[in-house]
This record gives sequence, structure tokens and C-alpha cells, in this order.
Amino acid sequence: MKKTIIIGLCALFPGFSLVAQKAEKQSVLQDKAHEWKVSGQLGLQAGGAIPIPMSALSGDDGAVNAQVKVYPRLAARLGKRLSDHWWAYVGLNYASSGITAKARVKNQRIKEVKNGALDVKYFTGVSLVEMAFAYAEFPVYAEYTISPRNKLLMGLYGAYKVSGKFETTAVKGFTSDKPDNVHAEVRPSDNIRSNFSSDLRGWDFGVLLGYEFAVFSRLNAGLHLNFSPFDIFKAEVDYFDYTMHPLRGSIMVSYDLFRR
Amino acid sequence: MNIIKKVLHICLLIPVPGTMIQGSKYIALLFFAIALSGCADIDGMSDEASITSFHVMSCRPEGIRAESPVITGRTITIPYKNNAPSCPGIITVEASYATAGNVVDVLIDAGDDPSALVFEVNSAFREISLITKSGVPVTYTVKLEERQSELSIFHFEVQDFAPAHAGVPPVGVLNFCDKTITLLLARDAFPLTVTPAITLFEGASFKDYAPGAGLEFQTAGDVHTLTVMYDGEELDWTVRLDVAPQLPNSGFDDWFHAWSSPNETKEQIGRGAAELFWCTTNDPLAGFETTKVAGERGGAGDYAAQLHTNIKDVVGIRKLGAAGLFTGFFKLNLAYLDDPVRMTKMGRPFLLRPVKAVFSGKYTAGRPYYMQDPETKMPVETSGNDQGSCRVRLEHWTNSAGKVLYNYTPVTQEEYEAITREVVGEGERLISPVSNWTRMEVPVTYHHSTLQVTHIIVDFASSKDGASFRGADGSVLTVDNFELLYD
Repeated sequence: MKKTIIIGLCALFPGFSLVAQKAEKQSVLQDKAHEWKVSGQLGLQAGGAIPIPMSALSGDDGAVNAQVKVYPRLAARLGKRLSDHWWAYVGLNYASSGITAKARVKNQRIKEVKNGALDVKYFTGVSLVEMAFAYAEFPVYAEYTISPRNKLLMGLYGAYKVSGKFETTAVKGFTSDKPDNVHAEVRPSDNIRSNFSSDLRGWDFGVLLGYEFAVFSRLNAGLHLNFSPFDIFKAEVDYFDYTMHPLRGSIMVSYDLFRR
Repeated sequence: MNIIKKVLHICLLIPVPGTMIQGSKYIALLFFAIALSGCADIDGMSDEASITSFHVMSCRPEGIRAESPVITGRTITIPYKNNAPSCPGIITVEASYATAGNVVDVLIDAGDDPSALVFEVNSAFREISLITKSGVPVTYTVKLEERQSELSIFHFEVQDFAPAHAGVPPVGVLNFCDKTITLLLARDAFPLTVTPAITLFEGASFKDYAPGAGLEFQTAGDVHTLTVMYDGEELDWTVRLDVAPQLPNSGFDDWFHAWSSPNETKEQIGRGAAELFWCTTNDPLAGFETTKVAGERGGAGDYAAQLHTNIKDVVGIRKLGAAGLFTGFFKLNLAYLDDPVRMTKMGRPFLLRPVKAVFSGKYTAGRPYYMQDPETKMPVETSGNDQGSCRVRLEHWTNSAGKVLYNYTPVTQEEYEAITREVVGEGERLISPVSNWTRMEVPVTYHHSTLQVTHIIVDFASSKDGASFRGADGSVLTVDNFELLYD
């Protein structure tokens, strides 16, 4: 099954399609012949949120085992040709992503204001982070044609959160009010589960980078990468020593449904 | 480069659409499936570690002689003899030990140097935690156990006393540390003659005392000095009286600096304090609070203990918690968050039969009243009015062999649970709202007329059913000047 998927994905990349080579010249000519196009996009997307700085999550000696959920991507975009080399696009995507990550952490701080006083706790051991997000995403980006087949994408996106989940579980280890102190042991049977889902921000903005390859005149294969400089948590939330930033990637084919 | 290294440290498998990827054999930069290998397998990290040997390198101060430590399960007992005439306030043991298993760190409950164990009083204990690869601690309790030396008085049993109404308990309270034997008296009964049977080390003898002779006390302040001799060495022991004894720190005036958070300094009565007698449930993680406030008499250094019932997030779990102040010891254990009684070791050595306890108190009942939902374990509002409580219980402790446990303080949970306990007498006072300092009484009813009391439990709670997670958010009990009355 894995091999099948790898072969399927690789077929979307340059150098793997003989048909694509034959279509190169025709594709470029046709792109120049149109001013507008509407494309449907089909592919896979995955991602989640990454901590910055990463060292605050697990320390220099920590380790992270992440399991990424992969979702189908169904999107649409409207393109306007600006010049021989430039196109502008607006799009709509239902962006789903999710990660379950297990981390070996040391003295991970969790801050909370209780009764007006800052309460700080530390945890060392194995923690589990489960996150899943669904956004209605509105990308606005430009496409630059490097060569007849190869195009670079750059732009911005805005996104409205449809649903979000962010839960952490201190699975095993120990916790205390100060670092390097075994005050209470945490066992798998008595793990500490914290739900931060209600603290997630309702929107997201960020940058979009990508690459597309013209397979046929109407068919493009591409990679998109979205990253947000904004924390996934609301501004008033200050639990952690790090901020969490959305990072999503997509691999897809775009088919021009309509051109004029 | 570090961030890149960390990103590459995220372990993935090849993605399968719509399903959770399992395992961690490949490394990829998010979903881009760049197959690498060698990521640390967190599930495979070891939880196992043990101390295989423990050696005492030296002891301070001079006069403390440690013997070979004994490892029993996760308890390390360091026997020692103290032939110094004075009581060492702090005993420092430098130790070396070997470990087995995947130990990445060694932490001690206080202090930076795991090899130097500092015992502030001889009944204290320390904890050494071996941190395994997974972060799970394997914790050993290290305790000192004073062994009688050649110059020790092993046992001081009261064979006879006169007058009969003096009610002298059957044993004297031996303090090997300061070399005293204290006879507790409920009331004045002078002149008093006590005839003891004293056990010494084989071959030791008294200098100026004939075994079997009575010790006469004309007043409560009288003392007798017994000099023990052995192999040319001598050591003085003092026999003294304590009439109508009170519990240590029962004015709740001695507190110690327990811990600090960035904006807050908290003090606590009990653990770590010199007496090790009272303890509270105001654990820094549990968050249930017993705080130091101005005392009844209002003078400098006169404090009272204030107990608060609150709804708190205990390590992420919403709980209603009543504060407790009791004679004994509390240690937070996340396994027992729903059964807080299992986190407490109640009871401290005591030998007399008080007829009542009195104290000054104030009480504010919070609103609304909560109970714990049996399914969700979360607090839910219910009808009811909160009350505070003070419970006094006198108990008779024996071990599994039937031996009476005089002057015994268990250290580990296993030791505590091995005790056979019988209630000799008990009393409870429920405390209704009152805004001014009010003198409150707790009469004690005895179920046994002759069974010897060995331990006392005094237990204040800001909500009388707090142990069952019933109470009102915001209830406050303030107590001061606890006294035991014997007539």
C-alpha cells in the first residue's frame, strides 16, 4: 500500500512524466492565450502546528514522535493573467490538518494565572499533544513562470477556523512547582489531560509558498506550503514558553475547468 | 540549524489518506515523506531503574556513627548511633550508591547534591529519585533510624507510681537525640514517686542509681539525672515531667517558607518545620489552601491557621477541595486524587487521655454548596449549607505482631497501612458560621476504659465533608490556640 502511494505521489513531480515533456510547449502557448481561468484542485493535505522555539517543548535532549493525519484536499481557484510571466489567483480551500505527537520533555513549563497570581508548574516525562484543525482558507497569491513548465507561487492567506482541537496529556513522568523536582509522579493510569481547544484563535493569517508543474495544458501538479507567524492561541492565553504556529502542506493536481 | 535539526527530529510514517499514521520508522519533513531512520522511539524508552547498593561515606556532626544501610523495596534505612551528649539539629550523610537501569538523572527532594543527604531532624526522611530514560521517576525513601548505643537507655517502663490518681502512662517518652525521658502527667499530683524498670545495653550500668529505686518529684520542674556507664564511658540522661502537655505548635505560630512561585511566597505549617507534628493539605500542586493569618491575640508573632475551601483545577482536573490541618503527614499522589484520605498519614505519638479539646475559631460558609458528580467526578451544585469541623481521636497502635507502637511515626505509606489501629476515644465539633473569635469545645468520648492511648489525631477541615468533595466554594475556617484539657 505504501509503495502504491509513493509511486502515485512521485508521478506528480517533474521528471516522472513522459507525457508532460511532450505537453510542455503547448501548455505555455495556451497559458498566454488566456486571460482568466477557473481551476478545480484535488490532492492531499497535512500539517498542524509547530512550537517556536522548538527547544522550549522538549529541551536539547528531548525527542518527538509525531503522527500526521493526511486529509483529502478539495479546492478551487480563480486566476487572472497579469503578464507573460505572472498570474494572480484567489482561492477557496477547506483546510484540514492534524497531528498527534508524543514528546519526551524536560521541565516543560505551564503557566496559569490563578486568583491574580502567576502559577507555574513543570512537567518532565512523556507528554502527548493531540491537535486537529479545520479552516475555511482564502489564499491570494501570485504565480511566476520560471520556465514553460515550472512555476513558483507566493502569496498570503486568511483562514476562518471551522473547528479546532488542542489537547495535551502528561502521560508519565513527574510534575512539580519547580524544575528538577519530583513532587508528584504521573503514571499512565493517572495521566493529566488538559484541553486547550477553547483557547484557540478563531482566525489565521499567513504566507503561502508553492511550486507547480505543467503536466498538460489544463493540468498542473503542485506543492503548497502555508505558514502563519501568528500563534494558534488567543492573545490573552499564555500557558507555554513557546508559541504554536500553523504549518500546512498540500500536494495536488489542478485542472482548469474554465478558461477565457 | 537547530530548528532544522528539530524539524528533522519529527518522526513520521508514509501518509495514508484519511487515516492516522502509525509508528515511527521514517523521518519526514511533515508530509513530504523524506524517508530517513534513527528517530528516538519514545514508546520504547525504559521506565526501569533501581539502586543496587548504598554506602555511607561520612556523617556530620562528629559523634554520629552510621551503620550499614538496609535497602528494603524502595526504602533505604540508615541505622546510626549517637553518643554525643547534645542533640544534633542537622545530620548530614554523604553517600554513594550504584544504580541499575536506564538512569538519565538523579534528583533529591531538596538540595542540589544527590550525594549529600541533609536530615534536619532525626525523624525526617529524604527522597532520591532516579529519572529514567522516559522521565518516569523511581523514588527511594531514605530515613535515619537511631539505634541505641552502648550508653543508651533502651526502654523506660513505669512499674509503679504514687499517688494512684497521678495516672502516669506506662512508658516514658525517650528522646535519644537530646537524651531525655519525659513522663507525661495529666494533672498535678505531687509529691510523685515513679518506680521504673529501665533496660540498658548488656554490660552497661548506672553510676549513682540503684535499679528498682523510685524517682521522687516534688514539683513539676524537678528532674533526675541518670548516668549510664559502659567500658569507661559515661552519658547523662535526664528524666523530666510534662504536666498537662499540649501538642507542639498548637498555637499555630510557627510556620516555614514552603515554596515560591514568581509572584507568590507561601508558608506552611508542618512538613519541614522542627516539630513535624502538624501538616496541611495545601500542596503547591493541589492548590487547596491553609494560610497564615493574624492570630486571636493579635500580637507580633501571634498567628492563626486559616483553611479555605475552593474549586480548583488540580493539575488540569476541576475539583472542589476543602483544606485540612491535622496531626500527621500529607503527600500528594495523583493516583489518589479521588481518595485524598489515602494521601494522608494521620496520627502523632501521644499517651494521655484528654477529656476535651478547646480552640478559638471563626467560620464563614461559602456559597453555593457542591457535591461531586459520581460519573464525571466534577463538582455540581446541590442543596446544603457548609460547616467546618474539628475532629479529635485517640488511638491505640500495634504492629502485625501485636507489639504496642509507642512513640512510633511511620514514614512510608506501606508502614502506615501496616498499622493496626483501634479507636480509644473520639470527639467531633461541627463549626457553623461565626464572624468573631469564639471559644469552641470538642468533648472526647472514650470507648475503652483501660486501653493505652499511643497516638492522637486532631483534624480541622474547612468543610466537614470535604474528604468526599462536598462543601461550598469560599468557605473559610480560622483556628488558633488549640488546647487539650484533662479535667
